[in-house]
Amino acid sequence: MLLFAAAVLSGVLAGGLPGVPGAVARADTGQVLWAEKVQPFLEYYCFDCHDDTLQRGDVDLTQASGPDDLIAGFDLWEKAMVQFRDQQMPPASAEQPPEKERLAAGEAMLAILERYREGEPTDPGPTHVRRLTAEEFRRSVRDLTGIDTDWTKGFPADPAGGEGFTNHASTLYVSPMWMEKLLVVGNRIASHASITPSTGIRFYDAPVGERTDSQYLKAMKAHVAVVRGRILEGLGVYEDDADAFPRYALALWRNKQAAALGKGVSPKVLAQEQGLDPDLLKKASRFIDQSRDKDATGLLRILRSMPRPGKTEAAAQAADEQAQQAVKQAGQYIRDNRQALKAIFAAPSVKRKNTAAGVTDEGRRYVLMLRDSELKRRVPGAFKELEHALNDVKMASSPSRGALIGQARDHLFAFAEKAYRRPINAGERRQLVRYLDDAWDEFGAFEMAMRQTIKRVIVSPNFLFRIEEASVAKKGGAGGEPVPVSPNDLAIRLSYFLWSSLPDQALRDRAASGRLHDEQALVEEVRRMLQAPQAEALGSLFFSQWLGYQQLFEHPGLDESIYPEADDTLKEAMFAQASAYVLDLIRRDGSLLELIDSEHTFVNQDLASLYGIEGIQGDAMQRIDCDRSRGGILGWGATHWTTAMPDRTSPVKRGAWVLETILGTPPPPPPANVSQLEEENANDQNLTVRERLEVHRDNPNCAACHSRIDPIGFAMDGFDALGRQRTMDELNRPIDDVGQSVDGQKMHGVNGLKDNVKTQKALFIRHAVRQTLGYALGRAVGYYDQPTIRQIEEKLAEDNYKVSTLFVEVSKSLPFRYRRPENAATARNKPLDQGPLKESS
Amino acid sequence: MNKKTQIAGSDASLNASSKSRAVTRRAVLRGLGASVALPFMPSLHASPRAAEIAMAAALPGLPASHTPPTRLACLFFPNGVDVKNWKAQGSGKNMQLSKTLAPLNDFKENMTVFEGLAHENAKKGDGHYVKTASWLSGEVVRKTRGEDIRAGVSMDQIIAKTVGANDPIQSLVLGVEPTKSRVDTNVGFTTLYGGHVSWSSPVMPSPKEVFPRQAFDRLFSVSLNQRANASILDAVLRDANALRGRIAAKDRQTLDDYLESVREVERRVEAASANAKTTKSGAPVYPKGVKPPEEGLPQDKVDHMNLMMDLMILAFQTNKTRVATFMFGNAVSNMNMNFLDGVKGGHHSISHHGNNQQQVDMYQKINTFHVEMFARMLKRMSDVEEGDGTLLDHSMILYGSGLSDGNRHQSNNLPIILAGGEKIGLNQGRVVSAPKGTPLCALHLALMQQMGVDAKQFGDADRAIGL
Repeated sequence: MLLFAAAVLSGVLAGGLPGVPGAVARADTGQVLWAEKVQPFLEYYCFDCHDDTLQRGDVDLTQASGPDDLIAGFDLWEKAMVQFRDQQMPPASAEQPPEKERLAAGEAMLAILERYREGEPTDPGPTHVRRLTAEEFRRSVRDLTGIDTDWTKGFPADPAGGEGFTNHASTLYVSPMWMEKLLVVGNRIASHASITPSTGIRFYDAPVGERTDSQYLKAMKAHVAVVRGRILEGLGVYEDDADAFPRYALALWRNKQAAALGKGVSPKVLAQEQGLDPDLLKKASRFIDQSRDKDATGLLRILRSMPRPGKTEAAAQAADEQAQQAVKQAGQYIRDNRQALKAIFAAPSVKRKNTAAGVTDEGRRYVLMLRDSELKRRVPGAFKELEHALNDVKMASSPSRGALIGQARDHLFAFAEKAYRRPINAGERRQLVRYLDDAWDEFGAFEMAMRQTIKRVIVSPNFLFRIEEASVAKKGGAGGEPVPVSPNDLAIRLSYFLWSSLPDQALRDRAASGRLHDEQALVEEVRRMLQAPQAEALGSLFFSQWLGYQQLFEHPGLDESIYPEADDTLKEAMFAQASAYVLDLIRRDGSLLELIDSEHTFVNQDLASLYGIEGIQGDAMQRIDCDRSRGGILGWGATHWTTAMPDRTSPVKRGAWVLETILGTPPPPPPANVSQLEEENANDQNLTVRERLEVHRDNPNCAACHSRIDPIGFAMDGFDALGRQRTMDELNRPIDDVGQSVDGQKMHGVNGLKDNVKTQKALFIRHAVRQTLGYALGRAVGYYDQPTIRQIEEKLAEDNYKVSTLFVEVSKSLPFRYRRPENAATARNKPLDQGPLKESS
Repeated sequence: MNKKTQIAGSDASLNASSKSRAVTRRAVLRGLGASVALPFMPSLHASPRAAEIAMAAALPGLPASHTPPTRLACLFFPNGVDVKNWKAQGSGKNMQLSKTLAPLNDFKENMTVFEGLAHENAKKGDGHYVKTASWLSGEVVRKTRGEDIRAGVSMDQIIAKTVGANDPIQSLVLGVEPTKSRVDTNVGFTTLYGGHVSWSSPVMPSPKEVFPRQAFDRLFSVSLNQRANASILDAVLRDANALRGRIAAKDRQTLDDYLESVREVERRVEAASANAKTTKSGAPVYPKGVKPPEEGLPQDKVDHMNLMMDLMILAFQTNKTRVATFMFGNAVSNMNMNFLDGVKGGHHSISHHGNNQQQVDMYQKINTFHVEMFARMLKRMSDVEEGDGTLLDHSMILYGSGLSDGNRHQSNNLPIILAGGEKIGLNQGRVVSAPKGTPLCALHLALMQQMGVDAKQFGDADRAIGL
């Protein structure tokens, strides 16, 4: 028995050596194994319950008629084997096979499955066209317009499928209701746009309002003044206090590193510390964040190049020194620009010329500024904008439709290309221009026509659907060979996998260079993307759905009379806690095992006071060192809330949650006529939940699953439904948080559970890979993905389970980078004819 | 009187006393619009003729004629019932109702209680999802985590597409719980199935609206009337057609759904533009006395249910649609029911009571609560005068679940009640004991025929039940 159990897991860890000449005789093919060892066994011991009519536990094992079917039903058989291994099946009430027979059948099944797993991946599996999810829509619009708002609030929820994610292609529907809501949202998005012919489409946080052409002209003139103001504001703000420059720079740096420092540092607090003007600092901070002026980028570049705060003291010190250097540099930069510009703007000669020419000061100054090569050199971005703005005024003053459209069209094309995530062809360009022209007729104003065209782009299936270049897939694949996706499509796969949004410019450039399929370039790109701010999507979408903290928002609610603290603010905090934890793990590139076990966590003031942790202020999540029992998933508030009944904790739900979410081995559903807390003693209110469950397990039918589920739940009993540590349960009895696992080991509390889970880390890692792959591909994992999963598991084991390895290897994998050829209807391969069997240990 | 004892009354036998209609305190407080944000139209108390004139003047919608159209609403509740307390016998005034059905005392002559109906196709599969998705379709629900979803077309959607094709809104699909975005790995089903009783195609559910304001805006907003949308829809139709040629055959369905949705919205834009009522500034004109509900999801669950049900009534009353479905909860809903006196815990957990008497009592109270909500809707509909009777007289309200005994996941002898329809010739005031094995689809077929669908067969029924 042990031999068999070890063999099941060894497949995960041993490292595949496909094609190694086997010690097993050639005659021992899958077909023979099936016919001699597996089929007769199943027939005798299993079919009584698991046939096509009875389907006990919703399992029908008669569907398999040969080894290929075993592979095609990989998931089912893998699960069946665990049951089998743990001697849960056949159930105690049924006839038990002799140990020798059980072992032989088990090893034969295992050999068939393992040999397939050990092979090389050959089939990338299906790829489907799919609609953006609501969350992807939101983020794509954010990266398209710069406005981050919950546009799709009120849309019907995206259902989940496959491995449990909402990005599952075939459950992303479009319905008339969805379409209606989209049209309304399209209007709202477009209403935030302001369009100038030369600088193009800009989106503002607030709707801009509909403007006739004359109002539009007025607005454009005002814009010129604003641009000039921005140049002065951006560069002139520090002129009063030369010594303050480095301090402003330092404050800005700390402000921008808030996430890495682990605590929010507001401009207000920083200004106080450094003795600076808080309003000025706030303005500067916002200016850097929001301005697209190139004149802010110099400073931003320097701030970005500064090191993040280090973890160890030595690193922190080194970082500080580097930072000091960089701060000096930044201060100098500001100073230089200020002086140069002050000279330019305040030069007495300019003033004189203005009056001499008899023109208004303003107008003359602009013209002079445009001629000033020094200004152009110093602040090229702002200079260019001023140039554009003046040009726009000129254009709009004599709006010839042809000229305006001629100016605007390139902006429109750029917008559409970004939205469609691909180059647009000549026909599409013509159509957009024609549409703009028609809309102008309809609305009688240029800007409104442009907005209408923007809306048209957002409502287009080219934006809403991810459609890959099928034509590429048609090439090449005559022999059923997998076809690489185009570099552009690979970039899109990456950006929706890691960011749930559009590719950024750097990624597009990398794709355009044609090097994205180059392994080195791909790995670099994935690593860059994991560190980018957009990778927050992994915390709020991927991990949240896998680890279940998304369920906080679907939980039916805790009883407010028992848990008065359990409000929406606390829910949000628990979600943020979990998100912050996984994002920190990604940024540090820690081990996946830290999800299970660690001595740190994240809290804000609310969570800290809930958990009795002192000295934490503010709403921002902050990393703290903590007791081992609080570290990792099992110490998150979300884990306890989402597995609670409205009025109490549930050892059964907790146990099932660990089996499903962490180990990827969900227990089968309970039979219909059995309640979770059952029967003869159900009316005895004096029994604790634990005592009732123990009675429950006396029933052998229940014991098969509950002997696995309940002990895990018991070990978590030291937490209440909100994740507070407790010593007394709901009935005011002392907590007994010792659970005895199936193999007889005692788990003392949540730390004992962690130790136990870590002995099964192979299962955890396999589940992590499966979840990540399913999410990356937007489809269910199939048998054809098993070799890929095995390869990634091996890489992770070699690499100390580093998080980046998981994302890198999934991105490099065959199914992620390739498509099935169009003409291969079913690319099912025949793994069993590939060679001799490996010897199973 | 202590209403706690009133609800928890231990007598499970048939109870004919109309005085003991069990209503929770909170439901009473909210009854008849006390705190509901949708005051009814003044036509409520006007003469039928005046009401019609007012309606026709104020509202875009179906032309007001003297014969009101027949409407159908289907109300679904999850997790089955305590079967011991779901019983009726006798007929008409003398019908005797058990504890759970007692709130329907005032409507004994306006309803039929069906016994013995079953969904053969829903017996296999899991305990909840297939019994929800197939409630109105009667088809086999394909077991899947998300690939190749299939549940058959539901009868309300067949009606919507045939007789409702030219209504301002083909059908109203409402609920209170958003569809869960999960895969239930214990049973291998996507929870998508559990969120939908309405299916517009065999492979696609008709999404339900859970936000009252959004549902209201669909009924009365002019956002779709803008001429602008017509040209956009034209343009994106071209986009979709161009793409369609480029993609693999298996993916075309996705784009076809898009195309069909665009066409349907185009149709609505045209219909809405033709008789849009707006102020000069473009603001929508609502029926007199009706204010839009608040944005967002109501905190209070009873308010939420009341609002959604009122919206159905309002949609019927203003001739916006003639078909509606409503879900009191998704399959396996574990809604925290502690707002009911004497109930603590989640709905689904309580439904698996394991014959623990305390749990059974709570289960029964939840069942009663839903019946009260149903009775309240009937009451409101019977207060709306219409044509030669009331709105209720011209409507059929199907109330039921896809499970009988929730504790045992049984789908025989489903709890099903049909109310209303006196003026369309329904023979009400009966308890119909259908022969064993009579498909629920036989009732669905009868309802479809009543609504004017020319169908001879539906699901596993080739004969309609007599109504």
